[in-house]
Amino acid sequence: MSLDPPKVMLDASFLAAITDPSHPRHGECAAAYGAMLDRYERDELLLVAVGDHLRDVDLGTEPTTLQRIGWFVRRPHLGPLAPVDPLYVGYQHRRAARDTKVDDPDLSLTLVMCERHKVRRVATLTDSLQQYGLQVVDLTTPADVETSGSETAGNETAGNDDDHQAG
Amino acid sequence: MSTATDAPTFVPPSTRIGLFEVVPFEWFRPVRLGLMITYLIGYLWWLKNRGLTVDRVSVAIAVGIFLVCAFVGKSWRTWGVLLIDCVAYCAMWVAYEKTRGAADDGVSVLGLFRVKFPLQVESIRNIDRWMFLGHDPNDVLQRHFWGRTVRWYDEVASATYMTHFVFPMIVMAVLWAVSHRQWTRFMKRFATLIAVACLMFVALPTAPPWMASSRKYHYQLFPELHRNAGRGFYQLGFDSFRDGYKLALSNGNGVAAMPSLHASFALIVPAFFLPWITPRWLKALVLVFPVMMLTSLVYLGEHWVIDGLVGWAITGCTFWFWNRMERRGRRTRAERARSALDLHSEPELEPA
Repeated sequence: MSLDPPKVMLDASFLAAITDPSHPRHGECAAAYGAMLDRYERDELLLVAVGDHLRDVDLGTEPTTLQRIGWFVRRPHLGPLAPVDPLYVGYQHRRAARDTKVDDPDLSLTLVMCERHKVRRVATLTDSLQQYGLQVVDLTTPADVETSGSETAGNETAGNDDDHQAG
Repeated sequence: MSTATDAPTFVPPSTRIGLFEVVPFEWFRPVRLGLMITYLIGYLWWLKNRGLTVDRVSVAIAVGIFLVCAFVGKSWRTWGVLLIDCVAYCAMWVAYEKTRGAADDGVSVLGLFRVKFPLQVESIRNIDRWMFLGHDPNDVLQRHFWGRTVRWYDEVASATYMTHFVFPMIVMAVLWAVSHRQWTRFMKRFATLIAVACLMFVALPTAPPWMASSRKYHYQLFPELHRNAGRGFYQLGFDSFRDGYKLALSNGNGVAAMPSLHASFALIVPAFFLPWITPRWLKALVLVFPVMMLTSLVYLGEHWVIDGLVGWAITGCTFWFWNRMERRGRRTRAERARSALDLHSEPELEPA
């Protein structure tokens, strides 16, 4: 039993779709994200992303060293991804990602971070994550939810932690 | 734009290639587990043979060793965060010890003069007497139950009293290892409780019942109470920490009775975990512990009843305050995201 609400990993493709209004699937991703925000606000789930992916979205692909350090010390919770907490990537995670049998480096890093941080749900636009035993957010139906008792138990008063930065 | 349902749906995986089949095994996991089990065995051995550690430095060392066991193989950043946490944790206890001492000596104002608040003795005792229809609960309990020989309830009262020195620290250490998020939540409440208590120690120095009844202090509001909170614990076989406990008592502040941190700590731990406890009977059962603590404190002559009640009230207020703050934090973040994406929130969103 985890003390924290279940985490949902927003992968690189999903982050890109949310933050780019011209993205062809922006609308459906934003709708699904909006629904997740409601549950985040009720403390029924936590939104997380691989640190590297989130940093690329926050700072662009070529940030200065100072920007990188500032972001590493404390990510500002602003903009469309304000509720998302980074899962900081350490050397051990990169090494584990290199040792996976997956060719795509982004995918392998996402898998490693999911495994290390016990994330079992992902929001993604790719099909590749679904084959690894992860639950993938359904972008087509804004439907009823399966909310198992074990997942929500104990989270009614569990609060937000500004310093939630698993690493 | 967002729906008012509990969307989104999560599609169960179609195939079952477990993550553990693709991601290399983390060998530090069993190492950490093994170290923590070894630590637990070592701690129990120490408890039985060398006694309970009650002074802050020893407890901090014990917690530190546990954390090293629990964080072996984690990333440098995690260690950095842990280091910052440890500094904040130590600063909290140092501030607590320093401020608590000010209850005795008063507060220095810019080094020019000292402000010393009057010691409360009779006023606090009168509140207890009013609540108990003219009786002194400490005196009544000791008159009826205190004997020359140590009985079973002495052991229970004494052991309950002693949990104060380890129980919250064990919870902190375990939360630290299990979930940093929950550790931060717990520490916010804990530190706020201590800060409020320290302010009260300074502003409302209060003589405890044993002092109010003692011949040594010339108050003698009622027949002298026995003061030996450790005797039941010694009887249980944990007698080797006697010197350490007496030293800890001598370092403490005799007139820092209001509010009772013993009572507060006994409530803060069960109260923190209540949301995860589903059966009502179990919720009720864990809340028996703070009641046991307050009864023990009164029986052992360490606190007035009102000290414990005020301690509980402050604990309740810290939970109320931080629950609100955390909800607000979540709402602020979610609103920032919604406004950036031009989404609308659910119409009513009031927490239970």
